[in-house]
Amino acid sequence: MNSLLEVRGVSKIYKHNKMALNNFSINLEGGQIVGLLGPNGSGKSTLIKMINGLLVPNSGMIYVDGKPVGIDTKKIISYLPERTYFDKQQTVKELLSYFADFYEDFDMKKAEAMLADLGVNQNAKMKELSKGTQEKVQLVLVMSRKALLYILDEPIGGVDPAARDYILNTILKNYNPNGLVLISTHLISDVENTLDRVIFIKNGELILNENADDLRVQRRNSVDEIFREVFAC
Amino acid sequence: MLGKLLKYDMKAISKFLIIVHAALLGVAVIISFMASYYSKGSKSNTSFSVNLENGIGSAIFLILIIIAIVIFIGAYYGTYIISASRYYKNIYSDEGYLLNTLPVSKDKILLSKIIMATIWGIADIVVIIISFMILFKVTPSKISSVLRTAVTSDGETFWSMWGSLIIVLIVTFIIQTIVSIITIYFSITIGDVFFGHRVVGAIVSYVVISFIVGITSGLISAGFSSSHAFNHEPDSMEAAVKAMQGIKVVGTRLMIAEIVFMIIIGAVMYFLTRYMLNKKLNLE
Repeated sequence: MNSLLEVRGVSKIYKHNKMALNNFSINLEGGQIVGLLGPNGSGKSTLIKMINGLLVPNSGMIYVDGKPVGIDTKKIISYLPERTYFDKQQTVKELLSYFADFYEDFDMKKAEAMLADLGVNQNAKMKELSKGTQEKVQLVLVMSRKALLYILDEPIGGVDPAARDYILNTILKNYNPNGLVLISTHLISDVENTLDRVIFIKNGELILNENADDLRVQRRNSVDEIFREVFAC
Repeated sequence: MLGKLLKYDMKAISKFLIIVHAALLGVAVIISFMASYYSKGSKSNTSFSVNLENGIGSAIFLILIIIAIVIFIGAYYGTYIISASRYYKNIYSDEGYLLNTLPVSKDKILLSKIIMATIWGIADIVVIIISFMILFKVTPSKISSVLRTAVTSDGETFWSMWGSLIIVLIVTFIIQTIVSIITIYFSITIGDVFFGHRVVGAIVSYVVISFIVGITSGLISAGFSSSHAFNHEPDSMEAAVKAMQGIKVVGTRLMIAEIVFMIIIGAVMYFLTRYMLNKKLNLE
């Protein structure tokens, strides 16, 4: 199978010579849910932002479905950043039409059904909704696209446990069987059973890239416990 | 996609600007009415021949004039400030995480924001001119009759004498508006790339760029005036007419030179902004 996400020797140096990613390479095929795991400041967000074209690497290349980062890759990536990104003056309904306007793969019916499940009022302005509800709306928008690559940066951080389960089920139910889901989180135990593969990243370097089941068998431990061992302070 | 981007850009900034401009027209109408009320009895029909013996009336009138001036200035600068803030917020704040991941080119994002601000920049001046016309009770038919019938000293009509210069002036104004907007966006983008602090960086860049552009533009004007020196007083009617025609010709040429200069500056800044949005975007 062809790789869906290819990161080739990417480095990123921030101001004050802080090395966020150091000659980082990885190749991921479709049809799996991958956990991108690492402590704060390990380079997870930097990598995610570069795949989405929000940051430009100092060196190296990134390909999504064989194409370099650009308009063509943005069409097939559905990205959930770790912050809320909409104009808070907009209503939920206006946001739905915004997505429908710009993304050909946006499924309006699916989004409306999910919002109804979560009890979100579509006529409400975003600024009137609680932070948790805003995050739910954003996740619904992102998961209502039929994308090839979903990138979810801390998708369950701010929502309550009940919604957390609904969201994880949504991710599992909705993703394209040929697609790839990349989830960055520090709430490992919550997503552990969802993951097919785990990637550990530390100080901008890849330190582990393993099938989740193989990893558990080899180390006779849960991913959560392995993470704690590897990143012990 | 450009149309869709423009739709959302216009929607985002228009609400506030419509209110400001409606207020501007409203105040102009109120002042105009008050002026005719207080000037009843006096023969003049312009707004500013108010009967100043009526103390309260003139105080209210003065306050309204001040309010009008504040709204005039507010509307003019407000348009630019709101466009700048939309550009900054939409591209560089959290909203940038959505805008910059849309499958659209940076060209379209930039063009949409330039068109948005240009539409409002021109609307701004049109509304201000209409407000002045309401204040001074000037009707469009009065203006056009002046343009058609007023005759200059050598028998030409006002329009045939000055028309070309007026058209060049209008074109200059439109291009000036577009270039001012590009300068603002360019400054914000430079501020992001070269300075740690985006807002301060943007303001510093704007001041420096405006200074350089202003000096260069001044040098162009100076060059033109010195090459067509008007250093002697016209001593006859004929000489005066000649001098006027000279001013017209030189003025038109000067404006065209300024237009070319601004187009070049605007294009350079546009491409640099686009380059930086493509290659130097840093949403940390």
